[in-house]
Amino acid sequence: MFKYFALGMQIQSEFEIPGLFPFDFPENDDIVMVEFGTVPDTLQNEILEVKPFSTFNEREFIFHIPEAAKYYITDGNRVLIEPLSDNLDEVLFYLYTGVLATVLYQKNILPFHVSGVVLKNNTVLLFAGHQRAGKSSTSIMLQNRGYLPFTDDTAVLQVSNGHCYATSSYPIIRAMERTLEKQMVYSEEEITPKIKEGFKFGINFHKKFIPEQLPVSGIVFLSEDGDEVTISPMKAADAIKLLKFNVYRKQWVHGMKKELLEFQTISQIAQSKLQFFTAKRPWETDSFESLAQAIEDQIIHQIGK
Amino acid sequence: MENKKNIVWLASYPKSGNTWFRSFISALRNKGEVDINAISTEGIFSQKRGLEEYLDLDADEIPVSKMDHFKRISFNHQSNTAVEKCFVKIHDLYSISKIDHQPIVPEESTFAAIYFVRNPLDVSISMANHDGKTLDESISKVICNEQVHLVRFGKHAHDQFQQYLGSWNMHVESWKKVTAFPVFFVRYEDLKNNPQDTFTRVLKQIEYEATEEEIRSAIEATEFEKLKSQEAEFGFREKPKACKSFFNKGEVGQWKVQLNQEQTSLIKQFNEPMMREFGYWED
Repeated sequence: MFKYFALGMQIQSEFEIPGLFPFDFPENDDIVMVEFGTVPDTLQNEILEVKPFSTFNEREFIFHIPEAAKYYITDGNRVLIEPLSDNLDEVLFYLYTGVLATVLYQKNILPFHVSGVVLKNNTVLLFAGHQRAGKSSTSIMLQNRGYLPFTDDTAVLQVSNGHCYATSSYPIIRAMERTLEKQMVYSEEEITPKIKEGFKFGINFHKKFIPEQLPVSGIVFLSEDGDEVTISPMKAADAIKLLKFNVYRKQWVHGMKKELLEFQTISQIAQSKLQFFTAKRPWETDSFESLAQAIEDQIIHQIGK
Repeated sequence: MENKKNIVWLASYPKSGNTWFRSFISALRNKGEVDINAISTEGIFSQKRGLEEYLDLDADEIPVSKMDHFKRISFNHQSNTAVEKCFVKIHDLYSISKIDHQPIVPEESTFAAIYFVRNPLDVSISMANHDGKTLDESISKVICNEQVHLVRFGKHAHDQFQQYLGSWNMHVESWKKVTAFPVFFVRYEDLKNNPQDTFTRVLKQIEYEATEEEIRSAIEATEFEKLKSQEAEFGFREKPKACKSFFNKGEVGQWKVQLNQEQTSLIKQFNEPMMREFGYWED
């Protein structure tokens, strides 16, 4: 059996899952089992939402990517995979990017659409934003400046005693070619095409991966606007709307009946002891270096010492 | 399952009245009110975000070999779940996918297309403003360029998929050849010069019910100067960075004072058949 840790979950599999972080744990009742098998044609219980590739209710989810694989996720503790392709990398790719998030939803935990780096004081600064907002690129430019990666694309945020803590997803950063040309931290061996014919590349950071929860000192909401990089502090009340927008796969919230969970999670984060910022940059990739500089000067030097 | 035919494609070469018509539909649906930053039509064919929400995938991670197939699946779903007609903007030249050899749009969920056609001599001027290009660049690199694409495949991510545009003539001709669903052609110049009759005719063609008064009110709400003043006051989120003002002049016949003989001749040389077809040759 192979054992891994991702998004705060203990994952056990009968086959190797190279994109996840290997992590040993004793037998217990809180393990997510990943197996190969035949995915049923439909859900056992009432279907709440049907989409082209997804059929789901609160406790069951069938994800069917044509010519790639079918996935049946149940009760937040079991993932059944039926490959439809010989390309195992592609089959596992959807496990990382969508299926694990589904398991979290079933466990009543909402993942957020964020990347992040570790600051010198061992806290995490997260970057939130829509697809292509530049979360990964911002993280990589800060890694060029000496910061360690924490997570890419998703993280779990949980509040305890008024402090917000983040748990990382898995040790792969997905980035566009232009960003890779500017990165100075990873060797060619650590970079692979993420999916055959896809646009993005994957940077493996297994050696730097931190599976432990770390406190979050700030969340920076990224957007493209204006002619220059601008950083501004943001009130927690204003951050609520943006936090809601940055729930990962937020389109599932209604179909999986997670509206109350969403409200509770976002309220707790907004009220916790962390700071919110907006960072605007001109719409051009060359602005990421100056964005990273501005984040370091105006945010990290303030909260990350 | 049989697909519902709810999609009405709002097809055009860029700068030919597409945004104006989307604003008009928005005003029709909102009792004569329109906010250019909240146009209530149903998206853009090339936009990645809709596909990502419908298919639960990241568009930049879909293998190229599946891209066009997945786009059709996404729009079929949009059509099947819609409660009324979906108006979807499209700037792509109508073609057969080079990837999977099917039509680029899902014909099985298409009700019709409205094609907005505008004199390419005027389009070249609007496009130069829109793209921050010179007139000569707009003419040689776009209007007369058979290979031109909007959003080229690049090393960084775009919010839109690449769109094959081709020359103005190729673009109009491609939509003229469609036989799988009705394509209703409407000239920008007719919308400008005779809006009540022209908008009424188009709505009738696509079986969209609206009273004469509702149409009049929507036309008034979307007068060019009103849209332009909204942009001046609040900005326009669809405006490209290179463009100072999306709603520039919108006039008919600007080319007579802005294009020189050489520029006019070049456009005519490359675009003769469809210019003749739509009455722009003798202007």
